[in-house]
Amino acid sequence: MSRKTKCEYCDGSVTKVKGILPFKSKALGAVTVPEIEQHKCSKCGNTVISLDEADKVTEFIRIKEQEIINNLPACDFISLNQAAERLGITKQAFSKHPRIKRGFIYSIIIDNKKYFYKRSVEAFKETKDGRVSLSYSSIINQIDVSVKADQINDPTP
Amino acid sequence: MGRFKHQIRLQIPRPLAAGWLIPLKTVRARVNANDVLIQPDALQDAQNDFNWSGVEIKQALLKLNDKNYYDNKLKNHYYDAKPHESYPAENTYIDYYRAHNLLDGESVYTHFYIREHKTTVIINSFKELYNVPED
Repeated sequence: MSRKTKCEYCDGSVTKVKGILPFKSKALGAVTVPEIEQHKCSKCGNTVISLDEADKVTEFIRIKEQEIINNLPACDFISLNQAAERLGITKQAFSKHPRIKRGFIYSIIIDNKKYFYKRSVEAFKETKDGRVSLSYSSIINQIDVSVKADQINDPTP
Repeated sequence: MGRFKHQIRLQIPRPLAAGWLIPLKTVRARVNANDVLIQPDALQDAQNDFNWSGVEIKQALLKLNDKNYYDNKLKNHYYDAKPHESYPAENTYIDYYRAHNLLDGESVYTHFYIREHKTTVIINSFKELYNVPED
């Protein structure tokens, strides 16, 4: 049972409900996060959530992102040394960079070693944010482009 | 007890920030008590601009200071306060902060409010502050 309060934007009443929360992620695009407790207005739909629920949302997004990153072709990943070299910084500076630590460059762990997604490193070099789109179409386009580039470089028919 | 008794009128003259301010002591107490709500758009911006979750948002709120932004744009955070338009009958104000290098080298623009006679801090906006001031 929930207590009703007046909405911030209309004269509707706000109640606590548990349900899906639409969320726009930089990497994944539009996502619906399930089972999120929200304070929602019955009339205008204005929603607020607690910071604990916010943690659940970001954790859900992080897991979904990592699932896709883990399925990217291994040849698209480079070692820490190579990534640091591409950014023109030392590997120590690379490891300590607060944004990189926070996941601004996509990475996977293989045999306790971290590898970084090439496209993400390049984007980070340009914009200080390597969280490129991980949507299906974006990845397929990227693969298509790399295949065509290989075909052009390869002299054999 | 209502929020009204906690309100103080700032004595410092400022170009924009004339008005009321929820003392950050009160905000910090509410944050520590986990009595904070955030709008999904603000969370989306926090996630997309900083890759932050609720934990980091809390840490950032706890690091804000209420010194006038115009006195020192690099070190001071309190920027403005405006009456909440949705509650004209109430004494509810939205407080605006612009904080450079607040947490992990990130600069944050945020605004939040506490409704009169309520305790919950409601964050309307939480995003990256791009323009770095010269002084």
